[in-house]
Amino acid sequence: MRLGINGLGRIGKLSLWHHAARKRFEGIVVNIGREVGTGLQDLAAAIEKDSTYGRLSNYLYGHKGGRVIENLSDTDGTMTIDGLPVKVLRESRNPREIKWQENGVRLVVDTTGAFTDPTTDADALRGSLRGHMVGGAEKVLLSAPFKIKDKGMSMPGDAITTILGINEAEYNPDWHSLISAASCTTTCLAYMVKPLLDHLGADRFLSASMVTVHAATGSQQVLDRLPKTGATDHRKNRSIMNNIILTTTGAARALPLVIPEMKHIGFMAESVRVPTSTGSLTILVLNIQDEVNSPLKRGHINRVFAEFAAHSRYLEYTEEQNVSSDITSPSAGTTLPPNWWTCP
Amino acid sequence: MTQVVIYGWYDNELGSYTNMLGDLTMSVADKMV
Repeated sequence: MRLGINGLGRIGKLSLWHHAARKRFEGIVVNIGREVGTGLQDLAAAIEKDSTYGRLSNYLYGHKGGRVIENLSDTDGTMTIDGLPVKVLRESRNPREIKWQENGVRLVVDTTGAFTDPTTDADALRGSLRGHMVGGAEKVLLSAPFKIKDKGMSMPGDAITTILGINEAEYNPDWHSLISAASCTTTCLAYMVKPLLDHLGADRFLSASMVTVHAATGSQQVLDRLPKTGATDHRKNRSIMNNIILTTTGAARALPLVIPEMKHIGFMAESVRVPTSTGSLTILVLNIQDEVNSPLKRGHINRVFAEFAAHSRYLEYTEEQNVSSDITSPSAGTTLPPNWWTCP
Repeated sequence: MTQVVIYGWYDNELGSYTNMLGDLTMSVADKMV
């Protein structure tokens, strides 16, 4: 089976790295929908080099890594990455016009961030997530939360938000064709809430609040720019190189999609963007009802997380004094759990 | 009532999110007929 990746921004490019390392798929088809630089060699250079994680060859093989992108054909839009065949589509950015079926793709990961509404019709003029299925995809994964623009619409029955280790059992391959992997912050938050929820029960959660201190993303400006016509939040146009910027997060709102018990618990969420390239921190504050004559102690809470982490592929508990650069993962050879917890 | 503060680090690009997205992608592929 070949995998389709739509978009080659931060998550799209790093997904290509991930699958080049794992080789679960017999090939990857990447849709960019336009030419990059002066030809395929410029795209190959952009895939090979990364300002945050270094070179792809180092990611795959450490410092001994040599050339891993080879056999470039600008005419066919093909190359190999560490031996894995990769085809690049450059014709269309509208999902319904992407030739997935023609290129043997049944499963697509959309990483563009442009098509997040699962209720938008496949034939929508400006494109839609569902449009990938017109092009031949049977399943579409979204690397972002679903956003339904029409508040009168509800989540379609064939759409699901799922996080591995949290609610993956809810995914039914016979029903679901649009699958959101939630956001990075929702994923982190889910792993902060679930261990305590499983241990204490939802009835003891009185209220919650969180803030994510988040690295910069591609949506931000390097230097100050004029706001777009009609824009109301002018902070989005300020330089991320010089500022701590208040913004919003949908993480708390999305949490009940993967942990339904959180639906009725009051939850406030804030987000702050800071001038780092990756590595983020969620600070969660929970108000928990004590049992009679048995107040919760720090050691008890820590043990809950340590025990959950001991059986989780995606959670690590630590009491180390880390900073954000300590928790980024540059190597494909090291299977680091993605979330690190500390209760200092 | 006890107020609990919990700190969660995550690599919002490769280490946490993309690795989990990639694993989810492979899991979905494994279930396709």
